[in-house]
Formats: sequence, C-alpha cells, structure tokens
Amino acid sequence: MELQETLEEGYVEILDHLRKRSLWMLHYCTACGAVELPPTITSRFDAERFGIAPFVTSRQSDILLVTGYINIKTLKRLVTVYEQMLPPKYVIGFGSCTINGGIYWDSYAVVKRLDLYLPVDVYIAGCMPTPMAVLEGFRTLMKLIDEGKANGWRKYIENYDYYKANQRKVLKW
Amino acid sequence: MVEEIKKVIKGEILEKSPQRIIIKVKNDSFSSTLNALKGLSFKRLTLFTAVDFVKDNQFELVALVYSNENKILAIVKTRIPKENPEIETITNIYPNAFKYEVELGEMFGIKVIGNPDSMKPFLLEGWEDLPPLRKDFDSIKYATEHYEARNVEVKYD
Repeated sequence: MELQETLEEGYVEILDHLRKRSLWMLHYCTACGAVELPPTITSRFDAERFGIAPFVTSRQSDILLVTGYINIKTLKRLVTVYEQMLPPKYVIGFGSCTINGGIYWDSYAVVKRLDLYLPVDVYIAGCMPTPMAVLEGFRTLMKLIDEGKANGWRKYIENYDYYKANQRKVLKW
Repeated sequence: MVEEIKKVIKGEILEKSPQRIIIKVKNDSFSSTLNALKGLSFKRLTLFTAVDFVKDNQFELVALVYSNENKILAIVKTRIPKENPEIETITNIYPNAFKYEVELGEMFGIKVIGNPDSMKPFLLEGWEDLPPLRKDFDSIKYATEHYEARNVEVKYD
C-alpha cells in the first residue's frame, strides 16, 4: 500500500514536471493588452522556447490569458470559455485592469477584480506589461506547476458556490 | 452649396465654412431635413448620437452627414424634451443608423419608434439603473456599489 502511494505521488510529480513544458495558451484578448502578445510569441522573444504556444480553441488549451479589462458582457463569455476548458487549467491575469480595475476603476461596466469570478494563478502587473514581464509571468506559472502549487482549477471546483455567487451578483443570471 | 441647402430646409444655419455646416432644426422637421440633405448628395451618415443638457432638461440629437462629392460635413441638431423621450426612426433614410438608434435607447433611454431593436440590451446586459451616458448618472457611485475593490495599502516614498 505504501509503495503504491509513493509511486502515485511520484507519478503526479513527473506529470507536473512534464506538463509545465507544454502549455497551450488561449489568449482571450479583451482589450489593449493584445498588442503585447505578437512580440511575445514571434521570433524576438519567442515564447515557444518555453513550450508556450497560442491556440485557438478552449477545449485543447491549458492557459487562459485574460489580457485587459473585463466588463459585464465579456465576463459572461469568459466564464463560459473557462468552464469549457479541461482541467488542469490555469488563469493568468494580465495587466493592472485585472488586478484592481486599472484606469477603469470608476467605470460603470468594468469589474475591478478578476479573482472574485475566476481563480487566478498568476498576475502580471503593469499597464502594459512588456513582453519580458509576460515571459516572467509564464516562467512563474511553470515554476508553480512544477512545485504543484498552481491549483486554481481545483480551488474553482471546491469553492464553486463562492465563485458562482460572485458571478451571479454582477451578471444577474 | 449653402444656398441650395437654405432653399430646401426649414431651420437656422448656425455656422458655415467651406467644409462644415451646422444646421439647427425643430424637432418635427428633423427627418425631413435629413431626407432633403440626402437628396443634395449628403449620402453618408457618419454619426448619430445625443447630448444630455441637464440644465435645459433636454436632449440634443446630433446627426453628422457627409457629402463625398462636395466634401462638406453637415451637422444637423435638434432638441427633444427629456421626459419620456421618443423619436422617429431614420433608418428609412440612412440604414446604417440602426445600431446608433439601439445605442440611443441603451445609453440615453431614448425610445426610437420604428426600430425593432430599440431599448433592447446590446452592450449592457441586465442593466437596471439609469442609462449610463446621462449626465445625472453617477458612474463612480455605481462602480463602488456594484463592483468590489481590492483593499491595498498605497505607499509613496
């Protein structure tokens, strides 16, 4: 029995170690943050040397990259996209708009904190974050995955009522 | 060109320059003015929106029409009262006014008769407050009431 547990733990660790090297990214470009992604992905900064490549569908992606402010109409689609993704899945909040509203703190349509509605694993601060900062965020996420600390998707399942209540408060579902 | 416009419309011309004419008309002759201008080669509607005048308790409707042939922009303005604002649609003259009219309903609460999508939500799904582009709508108050802010200590060196 003990041997089996040890083997399972080791198996998960090996999986985590391998998983961090092949992350596919769904870039949900809600706002101006999208302009920093082409230099990040293309040849100068080349995110693919870390195994991170952009992908087009939510079902095959591992990272949900939320670039910029989230308004009410976007949040509804974003939650749908996140729930379509298969676990393990990770959310990166990109730019200061996802952290505290950024320059849209007084807007009638923009929600200020992303982590009330989706479990965010890594925040990248800045307005805008440069490609170097984006890569640093990716590296941080890879480190967290390797250590087994990027458990946002598990948190979402465990605290499903909390997240749904927060979403219902603004979306009026 | 100005002389031709003067002949056709019923209203005062506030400003005229080689590239721009501002026309102010009465509420009931708004669509007929646009119709007449369309006959005078003003075939493109570039903007149709409203401005909230809180002190006068009125909305000002603004339509920008452009003439590609004569290179003149005509700005047609009219005032409507703010209580139960209703206007007739201008989609029969300029079809691309459709979404502008939806925006008037959503952002100002102006009902457009003849537009099937008027007062339907397009950007603001589930909105229950005052229309947000009215001047008496307090955006900061709404944002602080509805969206939770992050508690952070700000330190300046």
